[in-house]
Amino acid sequence: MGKVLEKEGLHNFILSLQKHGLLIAPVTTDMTRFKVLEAGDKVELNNNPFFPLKKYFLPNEEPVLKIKNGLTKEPKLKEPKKIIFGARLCDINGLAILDKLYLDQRFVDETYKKRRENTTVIGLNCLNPPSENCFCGSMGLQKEGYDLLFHERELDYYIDVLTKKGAKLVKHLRSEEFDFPLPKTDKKLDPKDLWPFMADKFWEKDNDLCVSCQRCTILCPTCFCFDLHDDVNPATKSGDRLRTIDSCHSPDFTQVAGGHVFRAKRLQRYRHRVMHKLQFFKDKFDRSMCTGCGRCIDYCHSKIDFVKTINEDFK
Amino acid sequence: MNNPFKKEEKIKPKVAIHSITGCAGCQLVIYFIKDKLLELLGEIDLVAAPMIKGKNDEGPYDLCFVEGLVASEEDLEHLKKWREQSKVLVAWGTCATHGNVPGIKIFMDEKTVEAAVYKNRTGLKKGLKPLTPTPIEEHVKVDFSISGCPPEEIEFLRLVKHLLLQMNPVIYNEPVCVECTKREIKCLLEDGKECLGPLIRGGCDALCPGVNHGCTGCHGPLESVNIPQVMKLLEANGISEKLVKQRLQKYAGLKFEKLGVKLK
Amino acid sequence: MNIYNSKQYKILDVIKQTGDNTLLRIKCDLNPMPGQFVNVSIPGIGEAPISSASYNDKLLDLNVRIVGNVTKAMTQLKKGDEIGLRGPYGNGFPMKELKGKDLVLVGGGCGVAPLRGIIEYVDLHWKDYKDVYMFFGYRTPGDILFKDEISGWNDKYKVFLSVDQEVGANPFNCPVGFVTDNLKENKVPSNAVALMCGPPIMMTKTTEILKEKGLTEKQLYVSLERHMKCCTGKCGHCMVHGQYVCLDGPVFTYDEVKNLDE
Repeated sequence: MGKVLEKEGLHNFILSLQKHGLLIAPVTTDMTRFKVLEAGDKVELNNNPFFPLKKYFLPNEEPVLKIKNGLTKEPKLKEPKKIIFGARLCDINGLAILDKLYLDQRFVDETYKKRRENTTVIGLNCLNPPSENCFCGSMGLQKEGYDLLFHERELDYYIDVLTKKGAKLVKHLRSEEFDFPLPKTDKKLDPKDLWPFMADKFWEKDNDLCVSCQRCTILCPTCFCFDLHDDVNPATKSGDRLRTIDSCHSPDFTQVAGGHVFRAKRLQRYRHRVMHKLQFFKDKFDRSMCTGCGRCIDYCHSKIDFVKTINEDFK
Repeated sequence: MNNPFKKEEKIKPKVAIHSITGCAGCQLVIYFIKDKLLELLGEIDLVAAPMIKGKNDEGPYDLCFVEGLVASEEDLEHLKKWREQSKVLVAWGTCATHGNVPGIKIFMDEKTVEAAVYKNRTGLKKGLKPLTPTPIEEHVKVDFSISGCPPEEIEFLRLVKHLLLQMNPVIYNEPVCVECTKREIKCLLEDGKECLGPLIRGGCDALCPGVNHGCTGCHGPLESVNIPQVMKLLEANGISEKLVKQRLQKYAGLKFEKLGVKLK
Repeated sequence: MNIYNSKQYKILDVIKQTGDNTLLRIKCDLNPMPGQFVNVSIPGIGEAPISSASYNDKLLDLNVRIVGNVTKAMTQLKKGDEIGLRGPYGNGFPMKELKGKDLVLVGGGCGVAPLRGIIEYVDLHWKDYKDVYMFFGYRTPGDILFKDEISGWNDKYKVFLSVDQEVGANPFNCPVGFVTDNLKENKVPSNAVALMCGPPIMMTKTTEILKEKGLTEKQLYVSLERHMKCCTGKCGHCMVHGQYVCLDGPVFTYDEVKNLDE
């Protein structure tokens, strides 16, 4: 069951969300970014933000532990209520994918869990792909991971309601039953078992173009490999154990104490990223780790199009 | 309660900050740290810092920062002495690590350069014996290299902290693009501008791209970079090969040559 | 409970084993299975995964060789100090599945330490296993680990030691040569299982010889070394071919990890 909002009611609806928590939405200046909405900001309804949604759940750097007098302590969790409006299904499915790792029953990341609980995610369905490199239409996106999802129709927005948290925000609106369509994209990744294509020769062409800048991993809605390291004041022995976003494109990523680097060649690192996104994760969790947002192609310095390579050259 | 940090009575490490040919800007970074430096001063004994102290001790030093590059016999004498006197010697700043701007002389006719700066050589210090300007690691063993024109204060603090904790120091080793992307700065290279970000060691928190100025490469290159591809990207942005090569020469010409770029 | 936090445990003893190996004996009820590891925390310095060298519900032995900052800091700890640990992590050697088998332990240098957990396990469950063969190789006689326990092992198990070079006294009369030389010259039953830990070259050579002796790749278990940070299947550092060495490993059958082109 869903709800319906007339188009002219959208602006007031978004503003009304501010009374429920910190309101975050895409805003365009020199480019589109998610940000806390301030007076004068206009919510961007067309572009997908540069940096994905994950930053509100797994920031680039934060202390996971406090260090005091040579002992680690759990930091106090102060997670304000947040409402994020205007995230696309690729980013939202990205959260559902990160949930599989960060809410893994064996080792639940409490900070992540708290943020997921305290954040209301309101999606915006794509009628047209925001980028020519979007290929989510071939990545099996699910209607999951959001609290509410807005789907624009000719006269109104149909609002898909997935959670109680979301339902509270739209209880005053008219109900309707409607099966909204998932986004469609012209660009598609052929579903292929990639294991037969591990040989270097399949990766060389794209690898020659890769400059190891790590933008593809930093901007990926599902990449959050991280490093843990301590930063203390030697005088007081107090400080933080920090978690910092890391990238499998960095040569240091697989270095062990003693100096050996397991993936010393750029090609190995490039292949590992693509294989992890498209094959390794699927082998374990039965879905691709890639949601087809296209950022890793859009923002690649060399515009490496691995979708094209896989479709055309992997045979 | 016992803990791993239980401090034993120990003598504070003797630290020196010395300088050879350069602009002194790298030293200033350290002195401008102010409050955090004062905090550290409780843990170290700054025995020599001629720029800010009247009385400076000769070695032995536990840790010696050297800024500047070798451009004269006098520089070389000092450097060799500090090396002998120091347990750990740090090349501090891009002059020390890569040769920096004075190092451009290597790629030009030395007499022409000298004539342009010192008309009739009248400005030259009396008795100065110039040498081809070279980074300090060309002359002595360097334990740690921290580049930057100037280097970042956080890199000084991190290194000293790690050494005080008896750790093998970790030196930032990712391209400028990493910090730039994390800061959500609009990519200049993508915008058709000139930016050396993908080639250059970061640690500066993308200072220049953050103010809409392409990275000029003051930290010098990372070891594992795809130089030919970045050159192609720059050329595609309308930056001539000649200009790109001039840029590479500016801060770290010698290093880029070692990485296979023909600059001469 | 924050999954990255560790608990403090008391160090009961610090035993210098060799020139560069130190054994920390810790009062600890984590009781890792043989082949499992704990993540050691030295606040201010960082964390490092260390394999258990024991099988005991009251004690934990960690053999430490200085390779990085954390291991260096660990060897500076003293009896009575506390140390932060979290875990145990990893799958460990599948001791229950291996019931009724002959066990062939092959270890090189500090790779012997995790295998000692198996020995302590078998000491307690000796009825469950047939013979235990140990092929341990060290650089020199001075590098031999667990020296005080070797005569005890000799009474119960078949122990074959070797050293790369004979430097100094050789109290165990170890032949000079590689682990693999001893392995070649001695019989092991073809239905045995081999459990290996050591440098990659040792594991490769050992595998060749054991295959010649009729063991299949599924009868060979290896413990992999990777860069592990979170130890909970999130940080991605230890992943190889989709397997998290921290969760799915560190023990794999040779069959699973052969030809690992990263």
